[in-house]
Amino acid sequence: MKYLLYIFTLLCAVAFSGCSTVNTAERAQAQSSPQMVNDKRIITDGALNDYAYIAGINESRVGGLLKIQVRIVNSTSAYRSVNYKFTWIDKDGMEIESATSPWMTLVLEGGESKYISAVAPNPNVCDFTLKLLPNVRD
Amino acid sequence: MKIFKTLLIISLLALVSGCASNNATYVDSGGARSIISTNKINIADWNAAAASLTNDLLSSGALEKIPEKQPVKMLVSRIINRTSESIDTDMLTRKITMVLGNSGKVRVVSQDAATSELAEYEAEMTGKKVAQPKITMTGKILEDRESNSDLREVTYTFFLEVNYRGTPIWSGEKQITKQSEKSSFGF
Repeated sequence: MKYLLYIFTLLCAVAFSGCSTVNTAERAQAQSSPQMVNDKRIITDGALNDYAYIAGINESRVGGLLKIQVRIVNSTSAYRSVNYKFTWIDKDGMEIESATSPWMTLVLEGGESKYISAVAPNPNVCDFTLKLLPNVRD
Repeated sequence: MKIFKTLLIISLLALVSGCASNNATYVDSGGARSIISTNKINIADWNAAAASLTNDLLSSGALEKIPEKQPVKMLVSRIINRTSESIDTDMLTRKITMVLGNSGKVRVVSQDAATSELAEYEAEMTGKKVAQPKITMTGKILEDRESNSDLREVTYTFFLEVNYRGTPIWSGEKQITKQSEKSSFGF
């Protein structure tokens, strides 16, 4: 019986050792007033949505260029990585290719949230799309 | 017995042909399926560094604060390579200058001798002088390697600075760290 308890404790220790999560603290009443984007989501991978959940999208203009910032949350307790890419659309609905928006990799500890951002390549851009893809290299 | 022999030969052939397969496939350049390694700066790293530094520069508003009419003439100066590999720094600067040029904020001066000569000739013919670039871009790429018994790690630091009339007006840095497991054979 003692052995069983010992093995159980050991197994628990091994299981939880790989799941360090992030604790955070922030101002209770935020002083900033971000301009939030009313977004539309197409979820084709539910599991990805668990560890790369889009908590909010806000926008601003910098030097006449559209800047988009997205808050991504890893709601699982495991360390994860996710690939993301912004694409830009001009006022005529045409996609604008840009070297500022390649596929990028974001790594997130368990329970961590991070901001990703990108700036549009020219002043004619008025819309964007954000694509998220699981780690496909493993 | 004969059937087993035939099946064995067919299986072996299938196995060998599978192993010897050299079918290439297209992937997104520097995309999510591109190969990454710890022994060099991969295309995905160049893309990430250029994108991050350009986003930083455009977000900073530093180019709008320059008291010159846009687009401001810019010269890409020296990018120092302090890594162990021989690299073409155009992999970083070309992408950045392309985006800055397309944004309408900057006009990059060509470093091609024939183009510069032609510009000088044209200016001379019209009795003008070729305007000197008002801003310069310089930078450095550094490499740092670490390892323990199981893992090897490399960090590349991409540092970039923009100067107006010799004074720094913006500087940015992007670090990219990659880890890989060591081979069990010690290679």
